[in-house]
Amino acid sequence: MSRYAYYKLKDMITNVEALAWGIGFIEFWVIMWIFVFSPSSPQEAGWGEAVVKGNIAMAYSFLGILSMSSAAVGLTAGIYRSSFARRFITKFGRLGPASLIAEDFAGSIASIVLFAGVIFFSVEALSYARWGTLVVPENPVGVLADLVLAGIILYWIAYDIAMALIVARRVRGVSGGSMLSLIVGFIVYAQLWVSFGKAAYAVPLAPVPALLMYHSLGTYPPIGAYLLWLTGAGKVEAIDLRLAALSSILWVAALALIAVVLTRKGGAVSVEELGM
Amino acid sequence: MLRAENLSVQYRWRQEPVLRGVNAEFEGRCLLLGPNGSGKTTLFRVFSGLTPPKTGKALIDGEDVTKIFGRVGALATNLPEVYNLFFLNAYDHVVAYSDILGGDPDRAFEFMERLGLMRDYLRKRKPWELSGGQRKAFTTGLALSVRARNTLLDEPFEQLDPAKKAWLAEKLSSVEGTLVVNTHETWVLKPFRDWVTYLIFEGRAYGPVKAGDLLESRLVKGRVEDAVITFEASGKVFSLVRGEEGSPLTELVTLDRVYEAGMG
Repeated sequence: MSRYAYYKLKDMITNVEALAWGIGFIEFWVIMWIFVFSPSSPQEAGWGEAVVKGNIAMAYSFLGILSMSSAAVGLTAGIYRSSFARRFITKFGRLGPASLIAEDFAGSIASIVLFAGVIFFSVEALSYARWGTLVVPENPVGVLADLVLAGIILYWIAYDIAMALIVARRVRGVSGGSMLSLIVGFIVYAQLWVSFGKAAYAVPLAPVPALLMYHSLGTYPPIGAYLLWLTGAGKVEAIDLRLAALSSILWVAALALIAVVLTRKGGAVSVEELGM
Repeated sequence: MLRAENLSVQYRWRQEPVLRGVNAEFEGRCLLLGPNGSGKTTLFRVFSGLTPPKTGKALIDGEDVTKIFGRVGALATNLPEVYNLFFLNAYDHVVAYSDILGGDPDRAFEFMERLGLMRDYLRKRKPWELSGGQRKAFTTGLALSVRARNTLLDEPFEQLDPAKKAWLAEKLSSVEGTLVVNTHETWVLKPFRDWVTYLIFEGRAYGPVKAGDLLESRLVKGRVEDAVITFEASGKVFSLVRGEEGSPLTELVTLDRVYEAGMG
């Protein structure tokens, strides 16, 4: 074990760019969700506490994932640009590809927890500021754990995208490639309106909103089309929560394994190739 | 010991190759002399496992670099791209990299201080905020602190003042293991006259010869029999020969001027 994880953590919590994406951008979305996209008072809109609770649950489920996806964009670009250094230390340092990945993940997990905490507490605090009602989720620890799980899946997606671009030597694809995490985030976001059916179990991150809904509201959510379900306007197939959790865990394992293989295969991207 | 076997590198398929079938062996103290853009740094990147060769092999102590992982102390380099892992200050970089690469941070700091980079200053600057000369001192200090079996120094004298250059030249003469220094400056032939030297032009390596032999040779156009080295640059043939004809290599100051010598 080297001190890489310690310095990675120090890097993540002092890197202004990472903080801007991970916290500043998240806060922007939370403020937009609560102060712009939601009515000014639950009574005006005919909302009761249950509806505020539903609104907050949706904020965790979809806003949280979208914000984490935004943070993952910066992560891909960072991995891509440090490919030279990563390559070198796996060859001539104390870290082989697998241990580099493990320590990088260990160092990053703290910032994922931090970002999840920011989403959780800012949704709570700003909802209270907006409606004067403190609505605590049914299982706050579960909500936090689900947000961290979303962050972990997105971390591996971002890592694998960067490494895949390096292995394929698609050196000019970084700006487009790094946006793939955000695209995945928006695909998951689309489940507010549509249901992927059983295919949701096969899409990374797609079952996580169901887990968040369950821990927020304490009721079994559907497999998709959450607005339809929340407004009671239609019937949607219920989700199998065990399968949702299993799918997410399997995706984490698969993406981590892919990262090890790609790190062993990948070279590095030089400044000349980046055309900087 | 480092060996290049028929190494070719091409960054993009439409571009000209940067290295064209390089064969060279580096053991002990060695110089790699060539003008800017000749492929010196690319050759170092291949040995560092960063740029994959299109053809051929780069061997480190007999092992193909593409198959090496987790080999602490096998190779160190001052290529700045290698020191680009974190968004931390230069001081933290020294401590972190010393830990990861198995170097001695005190040795690195001592080296950097001798070249004017104090610890307090390093705490206030990110590596990319250092000036060109400072950054060179920073990465060279990190590379030498590892005491690797093979060390590659890319233009270590660049942007250093003459007093620091002289100190560094003396310092490099006492480095153990294999040390390869690449540069386009010809003054290094004097202090390193017993070093094994390769010339590199347009991706082709020529040599080996002793630096002292190059010091005593002169550059002439065309192919000359019994030349110390004959090489091609810009489609023209040059020879380095003994005798009074032509210009001494050191008079060129930098090998970039070989191209000027070829004009007219």
